[in-house]
Amino acid sequence: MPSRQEVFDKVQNCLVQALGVKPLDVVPEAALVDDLGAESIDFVDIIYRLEKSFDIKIPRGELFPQDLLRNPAYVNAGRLTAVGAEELGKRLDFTAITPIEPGQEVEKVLGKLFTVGLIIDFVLSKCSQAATNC
Amino acid sequence: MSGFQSTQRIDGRRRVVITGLGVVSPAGQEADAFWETLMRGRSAIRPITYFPADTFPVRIAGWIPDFDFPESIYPLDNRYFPDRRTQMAIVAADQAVRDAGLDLESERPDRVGIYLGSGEGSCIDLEALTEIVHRSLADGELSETNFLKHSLDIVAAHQAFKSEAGSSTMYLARRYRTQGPNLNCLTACAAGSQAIGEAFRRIQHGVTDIMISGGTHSMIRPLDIIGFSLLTALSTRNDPEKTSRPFDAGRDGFVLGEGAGILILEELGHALRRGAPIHAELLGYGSTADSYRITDTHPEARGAIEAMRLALQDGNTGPDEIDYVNAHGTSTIENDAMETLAIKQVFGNRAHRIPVSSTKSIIGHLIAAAGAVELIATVLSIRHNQAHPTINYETPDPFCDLDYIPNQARAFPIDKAQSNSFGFGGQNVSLVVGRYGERPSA
Amino acid sequence: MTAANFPFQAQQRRVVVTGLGIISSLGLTLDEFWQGLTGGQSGVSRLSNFCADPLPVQIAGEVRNFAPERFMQNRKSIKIMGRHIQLAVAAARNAFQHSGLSPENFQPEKLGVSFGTGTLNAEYQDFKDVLSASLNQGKLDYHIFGRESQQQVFPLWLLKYIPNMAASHVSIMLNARGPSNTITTLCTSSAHAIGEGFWMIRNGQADLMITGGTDAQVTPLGMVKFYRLGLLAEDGAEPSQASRPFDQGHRGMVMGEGAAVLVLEEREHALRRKAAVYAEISGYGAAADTWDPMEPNPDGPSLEIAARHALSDAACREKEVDSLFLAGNGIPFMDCAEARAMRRLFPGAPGPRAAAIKSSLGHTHSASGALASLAAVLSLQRRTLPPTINLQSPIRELEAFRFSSTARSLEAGSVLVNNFSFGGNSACLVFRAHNE
Repeated sequence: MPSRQEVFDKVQNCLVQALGVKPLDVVPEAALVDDLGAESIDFVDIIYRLEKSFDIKIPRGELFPQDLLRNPAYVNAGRLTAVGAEELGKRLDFTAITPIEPGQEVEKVLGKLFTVGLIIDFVLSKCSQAATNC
Repeated sequence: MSGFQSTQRIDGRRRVVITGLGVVSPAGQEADAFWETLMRGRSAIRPITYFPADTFPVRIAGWIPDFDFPESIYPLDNRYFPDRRTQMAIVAADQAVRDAGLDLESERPDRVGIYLGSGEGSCIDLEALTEIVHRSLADGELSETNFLKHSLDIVAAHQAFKSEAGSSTMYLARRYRTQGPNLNCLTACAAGSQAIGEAFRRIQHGVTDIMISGGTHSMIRPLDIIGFSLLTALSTRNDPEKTSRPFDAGRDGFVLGEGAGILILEELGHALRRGAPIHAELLGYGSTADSYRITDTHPEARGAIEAMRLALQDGNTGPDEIDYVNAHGTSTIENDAMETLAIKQVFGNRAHRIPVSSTKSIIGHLIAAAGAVELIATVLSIRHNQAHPTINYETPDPFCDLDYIPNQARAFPIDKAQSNSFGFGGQNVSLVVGRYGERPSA
Repeated sequence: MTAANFPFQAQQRRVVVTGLGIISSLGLTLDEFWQGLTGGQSGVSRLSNFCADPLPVQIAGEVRNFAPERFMQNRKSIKIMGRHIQLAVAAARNAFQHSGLSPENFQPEKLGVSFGTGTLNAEYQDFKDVLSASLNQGKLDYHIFGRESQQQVFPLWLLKYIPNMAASHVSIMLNARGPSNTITTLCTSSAHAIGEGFWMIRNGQADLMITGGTDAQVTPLGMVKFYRLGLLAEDGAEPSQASRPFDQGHRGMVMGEGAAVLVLEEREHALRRKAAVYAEISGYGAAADTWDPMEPNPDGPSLEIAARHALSDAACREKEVDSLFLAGNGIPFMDCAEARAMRRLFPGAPGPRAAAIKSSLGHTHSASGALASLAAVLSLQRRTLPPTINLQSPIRELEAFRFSSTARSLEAGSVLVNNFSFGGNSACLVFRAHNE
């Protein structure tokens, strides 16, 4: 298992490449959309770079559950339903987040939820599952 | 003399009519067969067997297994034997010229032009590239030097030249001996409609009398499928009949298709003088850019709304006059919600009473050819006073709450209709088309 | 012919050029380009952007020292821009700054983009990993490829090359929400694009158009393609002397790359905001050839038709043409067809003054019409016609035309710009000095 610092270094490099930001801006609490300016197409690129850097496979929708967030059962009129909030929490069980309240606007949730720290937690959890050296 | 017989509009521009239709599509390889399949509402999506696709994330497409290019047009051993999308353009254009009853030899060649939205051919020949890679590796390493050395023996230069996006139009100019403007635009998925809109302007403004216009594209190739798939634009559901499901809550991406749609546009007076069949009148065209993001649509559908409004204004048509909308309707989550929003903004309360359908539900997304083939479907709707359904519409999506003519074709009076095309990069095109002449009053 | 051909000019809007931007082998600014061009310099030199040792032809007009991050505010876009898009965005940014436009003096819905570009010119670097991995007994194994491509191909590669991406990035950068078009007609692409943009303003669909074109095919596969087509001039002793349009010693073209952008503006709109006006664009004509997919009709009828239509559109008589910017790319069958067409258009002696700037720049393909148009506008504004270098003795058809090996002064007349593509597709533009 790589250390948290090792994962951070590689994640930082991926995000610098994918988002054209400065290394100093990539801090654990920075949000990809709100702070680092990511667009939906950038998530595809970030996943590609994470897969290459850590030699892991990330199926579509696993890290960034955009499918879930556009499902009418989970999202109504742009806001998370109770079921949706619960499901989102389940999908992100690899990280410690404060419980997601239903009724929030999806775009706003997405904008601040995906932080650099969350990506690091995700990679660590993938690495432990794969039991590889990453 | 009533107004509609004048060959000029109030603003002095010349009127333009559609006198010929030609189509090569997964749903049929001429206009009548195409229309019948659309009306039956039967999916024309098939498993890909064009190349071994079983490990590809996407294994279905609206492709045309039985497309056959007559060798009488170009012998196979001719070094200019055209590539697949040019073949399709030629076959569709032949149909359109015949349908219009055009004798091009009796026309002034510089008054006849061509404006296509043709996609590129297979610019990147994967098997040839692999051969170069193989030989380079056999030499020790895949270095730039080795690559160059072997590519000199392997790159098929004429093949590359023939697959340029701009080459289809040149084949058509040769075939029909046209000497007017000869253009190709490639504005992603809006190209076919854009070409028709720009061709329309040329006749309106008196530059030409006849334009051969439309789109052609064939991207059912390994690298193209991978390219779109990596962008997460394609559905990976892989159920041929059920995957393309525009406006349905379960939609999750588009299905690629291939084909060509060619129309003969003609100045009204010219068409009347030669007693041409008039399928419909092209009334209005609007083109805008979102100026927002490369692949995301604008959240308020800014560019789409403006393009639709411009097309209506240009066609001197009020939003209350549109009887049917042929939607871009790709079956992606984003497009269909955005387009629904745009339709509601443009038509207000009436939006829910205007039938809307997506040809892509049946044939998939023909990319550069999509808008042209869909305009042909729209023209046929006017001719028949019927509209084809949006198939696979099963579960309503609260973001898509219009009348999408679910699953069953419908007959209703259609005098004026609007057809939308939107593309990557925020390209928006809308066309307005109307019945030529007046309906007998009820 | 004028009245019959163009009855609809209800608004009689005139269109002027108010901004220019260029990224070229002669320099990355307008002044560098102009000094190089009028000083008789050549942008053609030994290839430096990649190692071309195995190639029989190793010279080109390359853009050097181009750093895209100097031109882009949104730096993360660079990764999804092929080189041709980077060049276009940089040229557009420079042109926009040059025009003095700012958010308060235009309406975004009336600002459009019309660009000419080439087809997907992806490079082998994009696929070398996946193809190496997909080899099975020396052949492409589709089963492996289907799986490996999902991991080994940069997921956004398609966006680097889709032809309309140059226009889309520019539209996003400049908040241009008006009409947007991308023309792909090989070497006539950007001349068509400028002509289309001009007509959009004249017909009232826009007040401002960012027009021009870009191409960057000085790449391994690009060089190999044109070499294998037999169109490239073989290396002589001195790279700068290899491109010799209309010279009896012409032996083929020299590859070039670059981008040029012209800001076109409705004249009243420009005058109201007190913009500097560099020239007026007054005519556009286009025509097709019916000869052969690759070679034009040796008499060049399409170019003659396009030129006559452009002059008629500009209400300009042949004798009012002060100077000609010829398409001449050094390929004998292209040069001769163009020369015959021009001889019919200008039969008198002495013929018009003429320049063939591909002698300095090589052939920039889809961008060439924009580079020539930009040079024509600068010629009118600075009253100087650039030289045609490497022209020792012109081919017979052009003996009466007045070329010069050094820059000359130019009268305040009209300039005709020719564009002539493989296969004979033609587009001509007319520019004239702007009079208040």
